[in-house]
Amino acid sequence: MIRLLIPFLLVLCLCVPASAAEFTAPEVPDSGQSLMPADFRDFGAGAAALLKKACSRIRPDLAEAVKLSTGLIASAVLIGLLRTFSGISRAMVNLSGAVIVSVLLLTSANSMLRLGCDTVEELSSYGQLLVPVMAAALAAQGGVTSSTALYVGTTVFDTILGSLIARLFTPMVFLFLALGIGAYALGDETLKKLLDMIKGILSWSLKTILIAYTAYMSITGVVSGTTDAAAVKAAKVTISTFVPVVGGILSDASEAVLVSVGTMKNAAGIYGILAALAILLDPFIRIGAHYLVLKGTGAVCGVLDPKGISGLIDVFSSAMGLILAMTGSCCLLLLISTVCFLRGMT
Amino acid sequence: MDGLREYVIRVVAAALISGVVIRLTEGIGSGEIIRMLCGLFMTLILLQPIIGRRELQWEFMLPQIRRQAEENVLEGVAAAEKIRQEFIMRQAETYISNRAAEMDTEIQAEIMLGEDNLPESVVLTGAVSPLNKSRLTQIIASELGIPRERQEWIG
Repeated sequence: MIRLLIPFLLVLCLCVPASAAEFTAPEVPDSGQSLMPADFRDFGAGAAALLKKACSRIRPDLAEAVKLSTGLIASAVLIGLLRTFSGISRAMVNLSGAVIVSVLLLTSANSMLRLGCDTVEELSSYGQLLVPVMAAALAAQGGVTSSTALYVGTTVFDTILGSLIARLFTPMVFLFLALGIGAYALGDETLKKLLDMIKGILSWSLKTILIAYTAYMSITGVVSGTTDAAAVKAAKVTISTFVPVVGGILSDASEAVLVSVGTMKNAAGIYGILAALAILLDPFIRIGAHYLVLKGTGAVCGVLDPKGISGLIDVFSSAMGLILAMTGSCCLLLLISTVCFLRGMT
Repeated sequence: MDGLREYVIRVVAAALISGVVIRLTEGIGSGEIIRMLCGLFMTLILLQPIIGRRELQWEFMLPQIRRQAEENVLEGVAAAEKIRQEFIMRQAETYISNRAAEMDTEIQAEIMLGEDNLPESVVLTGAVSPLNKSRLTQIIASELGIPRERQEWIG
């Protein structure tokens, strides 16, 4: 019996774990903690659970947006009625409409903008912790050139985007709102053209940065990945046949390192992606709810008061759209970089 | 004094550029917008000493970012090396234990690696008969490349 048991135990002993170093993704910050799925080994299931949790929390924000919407529709009805009175000047009606919409929407627009800025900052901070882990893991797999190139690219673009959002784009959104209020209060076409220009500049800038970043990461990943793969192939351990057992162990060691580090890197990458989504989703859905409700309200007010406040409501909904674009861009940047690190030298 | 001179030159240059642009765009559709932008531009130039320099400093961060990238690489390579060494040690120790088990002997081995991650010495713990000890010593020397003098037996 013992003679049968010993070989079985010997086989079990051969299954030696090879991981000593840890490449673990940083813990998700408090804001995303409640959304993180319990099991994040399966990305698809984890992302679905995350989305489900985020959507289930939308009700209070939706209720708040609908309350605002009701106020705006009532204002549109009132403004529409005022226009029918010939004794009141058009300019005065426009001014009143602009003031009413501004009073109703400025507070929520400000809080959504602050929420967007805070989310961008959190994503950037999390990225600064995650990217070094992924870079070290990729270097451990032999992707030395890829790791350096991808890390430098990610950090530079993240710094540029974060700086632009904090110092330029956020003030531009405030300027956009101020110009919108002025344009619809005074009925000035020049200001409306300026509004379109600012919106165009913001959208174009974000798109350009993301396209440039994606192109850089794709090209860098391919070029440096090829270099690394060739280097890893060339550096395969030259087995000394003089000591056969040791030779076998050494050749298995390289494979064991690749598998072990690869497993840790994948786990860290998947956790990092889910953490980034957990940070983004709640604010994104909240701002998105406001955006969609305002869009719908603008359409309804356009029917009730065609020449009136619907345009200004559209300005506020566009501002929400710009905030969504900024936060989404930051998250997308982090997701793209994580995927590039996961892809590694392939 | 240099700072003041630079500021004055900047303001004058901005005024000249704005003037030329406004003159060139007189009469075209978006002339009013151009005038407003020129006004904003002049305002920014005038307020620069108060606002402070806001140019992006990323180009000065590049050397620091490269250094961080190199540190990450070193960390990763060191971690991989550690994993490799632990794997080799565990595999060699397990091999010795297995060969001892074939002789109905139980021993524990602790391998030390040398250069190029090759087993350099071993400490063996366990009660072993002289015959099995001799056989194991021979096996370790021939199959793991650890000479007799670097095998330490305890117990």
